[in-house]
Amino acid sequence: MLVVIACGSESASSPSNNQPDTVDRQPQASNESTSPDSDSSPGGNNDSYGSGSAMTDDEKSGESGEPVDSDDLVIGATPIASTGSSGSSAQQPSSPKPSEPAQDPSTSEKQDSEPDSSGSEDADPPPAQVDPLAASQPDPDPPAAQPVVDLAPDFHLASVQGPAHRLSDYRGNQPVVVVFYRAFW
Amino acid sequence: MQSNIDSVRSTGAEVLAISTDDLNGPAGLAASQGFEFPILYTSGDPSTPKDYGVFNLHGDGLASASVFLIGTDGAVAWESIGERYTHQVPASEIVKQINNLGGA
Repeated sequence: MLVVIACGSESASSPSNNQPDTVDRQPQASNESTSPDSDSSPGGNNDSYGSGSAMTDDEKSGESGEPVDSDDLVIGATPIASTGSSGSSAQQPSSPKPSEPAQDPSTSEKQDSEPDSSGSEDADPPPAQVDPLAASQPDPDPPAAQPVVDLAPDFHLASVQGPAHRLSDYRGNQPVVVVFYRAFW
Repeated sequence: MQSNIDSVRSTGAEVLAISTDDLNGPAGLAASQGFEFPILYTSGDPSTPKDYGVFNLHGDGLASASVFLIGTDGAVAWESIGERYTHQVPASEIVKQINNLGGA
């Protein structure tokens, strides 16, 4: 009786111990991936979890590999160790390769945010000289007369003396010296 | 200035002076006195100096002192864009460039 009870108590206590053990094993499994010392304890069961988690982790690690996010680097540390421990199984080195094409859309999204800042910087410097000159080309030009002529930007401005003057009116008649000046040269 | 302009105009070229200063006031009247060549003003519209790439080079909202020689073909044959407030182009240089047009 005592023995049976004792056995029952032990058996009852043992599954109670097993339940927290299983609960502990799952966090251990994640820790085991980081620490290669515990490779013997997980056995084949944890390999299935490890391989399944390694797939997702590899994708995450692949995402974090290029854009260098601090959050992903923490996640990426575990799959690196898992791939190192799984290197003995030699089945998973193929997994990071198919995971690479899945990385591209996610990385492109992350990379898009970064070039936006650089893109705005690039948009600032271009001088206004090129565009108006190019825009002025198609304006009033009879293209058949002269093949390629970068016409000076036309203007039609009032004069202090009264009549307005249009630059294009002088074309074909006489050269024009356009002087931008400040009140006193 | 007028004498220099006369030497330029003697080549057959017209001189169009463009000011981005406010010429509606007394300064404009004074500037127009005795000048036979047209003095154009932009009335605060920076489009023309912007088209020529001379607007606000000094960050003061005005056109930089610059000279553009437009040939009879309507193209810019020569230009001198002022990078300093005191930028001046000698009339002799302008006359030289006009003579280099060949067809002028």
